[in-house]
Amino acid sequence: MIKRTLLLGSAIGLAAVLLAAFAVSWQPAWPALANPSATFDPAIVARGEKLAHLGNCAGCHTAQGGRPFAGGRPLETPFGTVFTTNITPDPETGIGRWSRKAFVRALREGVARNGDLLYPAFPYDHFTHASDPDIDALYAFLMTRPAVQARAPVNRLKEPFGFRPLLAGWNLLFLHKGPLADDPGQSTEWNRGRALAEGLAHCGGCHTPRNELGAERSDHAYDGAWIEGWYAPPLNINSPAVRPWTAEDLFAYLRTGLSATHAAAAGPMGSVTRGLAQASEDDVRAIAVYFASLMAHAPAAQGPPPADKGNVADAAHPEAAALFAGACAICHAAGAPMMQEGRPSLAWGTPLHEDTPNDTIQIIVQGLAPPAGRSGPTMPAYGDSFSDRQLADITAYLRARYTDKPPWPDVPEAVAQVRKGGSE
Amino acid sequence: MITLTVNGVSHQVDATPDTPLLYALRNDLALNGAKFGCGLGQCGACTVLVDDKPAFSCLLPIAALAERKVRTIESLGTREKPGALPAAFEAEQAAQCGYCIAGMIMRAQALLERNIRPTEAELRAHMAPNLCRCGTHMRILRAVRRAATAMGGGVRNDAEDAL
Amino acid sequence: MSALTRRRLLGQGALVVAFSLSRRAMAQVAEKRPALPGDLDKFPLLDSWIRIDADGHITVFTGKAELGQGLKTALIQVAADELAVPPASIELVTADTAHTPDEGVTAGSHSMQDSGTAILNAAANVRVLLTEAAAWRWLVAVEQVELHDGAAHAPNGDSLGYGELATLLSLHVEAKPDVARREKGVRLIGTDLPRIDILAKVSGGAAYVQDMRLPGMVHARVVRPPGYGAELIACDASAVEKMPGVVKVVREGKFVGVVAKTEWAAIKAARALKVTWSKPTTELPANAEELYAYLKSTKPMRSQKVVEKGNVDSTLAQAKKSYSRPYRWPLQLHGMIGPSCAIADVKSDKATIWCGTQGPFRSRKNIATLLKLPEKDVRVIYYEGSGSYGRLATEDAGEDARDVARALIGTAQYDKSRDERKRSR
Repeated sequence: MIKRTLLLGSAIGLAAVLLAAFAVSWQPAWPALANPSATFDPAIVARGEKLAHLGNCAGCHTAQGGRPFAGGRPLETPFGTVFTTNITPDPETGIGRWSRKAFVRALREGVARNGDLLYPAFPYDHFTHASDPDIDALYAFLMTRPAVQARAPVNRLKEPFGFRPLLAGWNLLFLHKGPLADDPGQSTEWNRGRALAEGLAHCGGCHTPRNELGAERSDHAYDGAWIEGWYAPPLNINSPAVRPWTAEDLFAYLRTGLSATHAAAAGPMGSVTRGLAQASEDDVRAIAVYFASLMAHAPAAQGPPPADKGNVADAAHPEAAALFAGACAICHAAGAPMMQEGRPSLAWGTPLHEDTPNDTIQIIVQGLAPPAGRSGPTMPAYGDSFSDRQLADITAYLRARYTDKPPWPDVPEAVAQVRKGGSE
Repeated sequence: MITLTVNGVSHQVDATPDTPLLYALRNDLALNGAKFGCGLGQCGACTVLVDDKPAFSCLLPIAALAERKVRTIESLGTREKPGALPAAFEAEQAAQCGYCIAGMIMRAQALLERNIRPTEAELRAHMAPNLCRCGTHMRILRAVRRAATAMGGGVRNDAEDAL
Repeated sequence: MSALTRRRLLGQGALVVAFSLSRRAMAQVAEKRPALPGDLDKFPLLDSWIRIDADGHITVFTGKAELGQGLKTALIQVAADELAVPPASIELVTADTAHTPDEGVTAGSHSMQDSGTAILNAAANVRVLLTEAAAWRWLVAVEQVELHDGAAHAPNGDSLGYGELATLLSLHVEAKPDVARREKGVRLIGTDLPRIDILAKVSGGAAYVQDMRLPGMVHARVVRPPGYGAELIACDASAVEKMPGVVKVVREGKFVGVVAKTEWAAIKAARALKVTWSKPTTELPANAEELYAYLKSTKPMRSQKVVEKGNVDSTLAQAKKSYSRPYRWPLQLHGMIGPSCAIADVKSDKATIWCGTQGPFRSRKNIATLLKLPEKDVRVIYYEGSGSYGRLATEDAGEDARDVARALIGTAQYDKSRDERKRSR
């Protein structure tokens, strides 16, 4: 008797759970636009263009050598590879038949027009904080781009992550929908900066560490994280920068890709700053104000910046000293024209002061190169010039010469990781 | 004394270990091909091959070259019997002042050794680090295409314009 | 018309010598000679441009410089065409204050106009002289002599090489104007001649002044002020003088340079030298926006109307539609891909400088002044650098090399580095 009740109860319970799960994960499809050729106010389209640069949509939604916004770029995640989608207004393969309502739902809730749940590799957990006018402007901009016929490759996700309805659970736990309430104790500019940083600019997407389920850890906001082989350093009180990030310094860095008091934007930040260079100046300033306030009291920046300890480092690493003199000093040493024109000393840049040598090694191996036809901070790639051992030696030498920090304990391993093309 | 293997020959060079390869090539080994253009790795006039990859010799200290194989334009044939690329550059008259050309040829050599059928976009992206102030670019590209064909390959047009 | 040779005169005529104590007769006041083409007008003697040795070797001289524009090939082509010789048989000597006419600066696409026409006409004159010499030798009519392949050919098959013909005549005579171009035979002008210099450049041959290596040569670099009008306040050479390979730190007035045994040592020494400059009198605009504002607001040093036809203002005012648009061209560095390089061999009483200056004779004047030597004791030889596009028309590598070499009384090769090129004026 009890067994039958138990069985019945379990069955009803299971049914209830399944029903709830279904209710949560099922999303309706919005109808396709019959005639997808609306006209948009050019001023709103222009605003949308600036916001698209700010959010760096093209950065993810453009494949290498592909047409802008046509998708197809692979994003590596711990759960497999997700390919970005085509967000040009192509009716068949893009978002050409998406109504404004469908677009808003995608950004705010992570749901595609056909009801599919989107993977948070698309950071809708950030875009959900964008304002209505901003989302409208983005819609106007994207719907007026050239349509490209391109279907993204099928995602290659490990089981069971290919099962989209599971994302409903993820959303329940980690998605906090809608714009953030302003902080009345802060200026309008600060609040706008926060709205953008948390929203369209999705800075936490790289700079905040994630948990095992791939969600950002809100208790460690901006504590630094790994992205595509680079370490995105903390943007809060734990910032390792040895010179303060004032709002002016940060604005210059975000806008030009170069800070005269720190270093040039490297790795994925190159693409970000190139986008911010074309965003609204006021918006970029606001973001700078926001993060400057988060980093205002970082202890690392309180003291004087370290001196150049050339003699000490030369004695400790004589081979690396010779390599530096022949390969690096021509630009980075005191008498070099680059230094006389106001470029920052290597002692001021953040990479040498991070706990990991990874970014230093990446910069030496990859150099800095703006896309063909554009100007920007430039440095030759030295990956082919040096052996692994020489790279490790130079890295240790730089740490000894330009910082007051203890040597990194794991430089050869870090070099090997960088060479493999991976990160930690 | 530092050992440098250049164009298949081992040399003992009496230069300090930090000496960039360019000056060892030009001044110690009297090789004219690689040129000083900027000394900053920004113009490519100094381009040579190190272990088959293009390198800015102005930024490569000889201390880093112990086991590596350096090749300069002098290894691509002689005046009387030029190799495929030099012959193509002569045939296309692909030089105005000619100062950048040795670097261009070595850069192109690296590409054609690796891929004898690059696309036009690949060719241009590959050559991008080398500058030409005279504007000989179109002839340089024609010469590389001609050499690729002569070497049994050829430069392909892309299916659509890359951006 | 046959040439009057000595044999003819003395064999068939009489020699009468007369002199006059009075002033020149009217007819002897020189009539203004009709203009000769190009720079032939300034240097009308044929052997300023063309020499033929007894062995037939032909040398053509030009006061212009090969900058990569293909000038050497073009001038050889012109001379070979008119002289009816294969191009490979001509040696062309470019600007050299000891050997060539002073054709000023190689600039403005003027070389064919100035030098090309001079050489063409000089060659035509030489051709006529050779033809006449052969005709006289064979006692045939001039029209019966054919010139081709470096020799004159008689109707009966006899031939005389140019070398032998050259011993029968003097090229130290003035060119005649309006000498007709060659009519018969294969033309070179109008065909595609491959450049004579490209093969060396693609096979590692010596081609540029940077490739010159002279015995005992040392290397130098100059340290420049950060901007226009900056003055030298202090120069502490003590540490640099002790660096290995450094020969000397040269300081004279505002000029600061280092000399070393190797190029790399010179580069390092120049970087390490502690030099203090005053603030430049001119601040360059910080960015492109400021540059355009500066250009629009600054007062021009000189305004010049190049052409005025009709009335622009009134015509525009009557136009049905007019469009106005600002176009801004980005400012490019007036730079060269191969920084300016010169070699100077300075002795106490004479100096030789090899460099890529576009105006060797002007350079010689400047260098002689600075060295306090007579111009005749200073020789400037044009040697190809990279393409210069006018930057070497205001050449100062030659002067710098001279400064450095003078300090050593020796030979110095000096290369401007890219940063110095940006700052030098």
